[in-house]
Amino acid sequence: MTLKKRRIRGLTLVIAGAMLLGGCSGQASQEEIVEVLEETNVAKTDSVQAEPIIEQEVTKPLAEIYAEIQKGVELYSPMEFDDEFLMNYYGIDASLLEEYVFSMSEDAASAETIVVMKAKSSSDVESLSASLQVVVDEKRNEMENYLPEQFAIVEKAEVETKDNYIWLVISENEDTIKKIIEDGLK
Amino acid sequence: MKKRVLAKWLAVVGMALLFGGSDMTSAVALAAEETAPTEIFGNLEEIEISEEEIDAYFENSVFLGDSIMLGFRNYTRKQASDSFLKQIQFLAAGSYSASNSLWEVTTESVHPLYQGKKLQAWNSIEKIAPDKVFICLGLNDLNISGLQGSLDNYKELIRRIQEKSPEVEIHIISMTYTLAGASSGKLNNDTIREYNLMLLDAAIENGWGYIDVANALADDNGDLAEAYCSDGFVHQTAAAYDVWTVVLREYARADLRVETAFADALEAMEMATAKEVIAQQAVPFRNSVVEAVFKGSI
Repeated sequence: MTLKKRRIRGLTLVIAGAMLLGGCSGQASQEEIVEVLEETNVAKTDSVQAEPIIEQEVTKPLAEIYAEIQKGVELYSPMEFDDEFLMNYYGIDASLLEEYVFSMSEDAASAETIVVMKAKSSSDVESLSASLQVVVDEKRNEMENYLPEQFAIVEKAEVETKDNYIWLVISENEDTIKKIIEDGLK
Repeated sequence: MKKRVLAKWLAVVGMALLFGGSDMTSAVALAAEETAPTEIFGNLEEIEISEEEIDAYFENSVFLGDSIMLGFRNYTRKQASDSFLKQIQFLAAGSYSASNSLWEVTTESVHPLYQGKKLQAWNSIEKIAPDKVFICLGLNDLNISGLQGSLDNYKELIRRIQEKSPEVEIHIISMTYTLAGASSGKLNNDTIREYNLMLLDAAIENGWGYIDVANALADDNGDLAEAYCSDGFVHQTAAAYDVWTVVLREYARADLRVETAFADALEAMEMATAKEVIAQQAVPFRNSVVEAVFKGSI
């Protein structure tokens, strides 16, 4: 029940109580009303904590954000990679991460990549960003002079960070995907 | 010495296996009519090789290549955790070639990443220390370096790998074809066939293995079968990589059979005699088998 509703109900009870008092012995005196108010504790609002009116925003789990991405855009043959892959190819130590999503297109002719990581420690954000920059550089070098359309997509990509989060989006749907990520990390 | 001699036989037997279908001994026998005595090996198909032995064959191996190999890497990541494919270490990059494998490492160069580091292949291989290296390149070579230039670069790449890792076995995987009508300059299926023959010859000459994936994926016209092509050009589907898996396993089976037969045969004769027999008969045997399996296909 909101504070406002509690106060109205309390006041109603007070008024009802006052009416009973008045019914028994005529109009309730000012002193009697105050006494009832004090007993119902409606006047005491100091210790009552206000309920938030606006729903508090909560950062979403990365798996949930990725699920929203998959619903929001059509990814090109996406596949997710695991701890071993992260270390073997990109030298990323998954034990430094609280959670992550590492998705690339299964098709070697597509540069599409979505990576979102949450570092356990802010001190690792810089090195993890550098590791994701390696991914961008690799894709750029592979696609230049090979698949110009894919190269153009990679050229726009950049590694971004916020608090302990690091992310990289390489996709023709980059803007939509990044908005979903940013909304999810509020 | 033993490994190099074995590899020569393997290259020949590997080709015979694929073109002769399961009747490997018929191809061997055909050539043997004129040259090598089949009693050296006996009937190879009678040698039992278990599936576990074939799994173990690929332990500690590196697969090096371009975007075709990247596709195979991604395919293996989706296999069951106990699949033999999961133990393969890949060094692969899109647009990689024998030519650019020889470049110095710069911010713009293309080299497969290993643990986040961009290294020339021979340095990564030295770090990994595999027993075997399987190489599939050519897609990004032919239009740049031509046939002989591509082969020269390929040989130089292997030379540098073996210089750093002298004990490693080299196995060449053939180039694969393009979809019909999807050729580009020298990247056409007639040239690819010719290049694959050159690779086979180099494999036999140098004691490397040779695995013919190209013809296992080809349609009746000798082009990449449509069902195996993912992009209307040259990249491959999961169904194609299913075929790769079968071909690789049968190649391993053939290698293990030859190794077993050779070891048995050597035990039965003096080493000097074995060496003499192989030295006298390996080259004509190779030539006759290659001619037999490729007759009419070029």
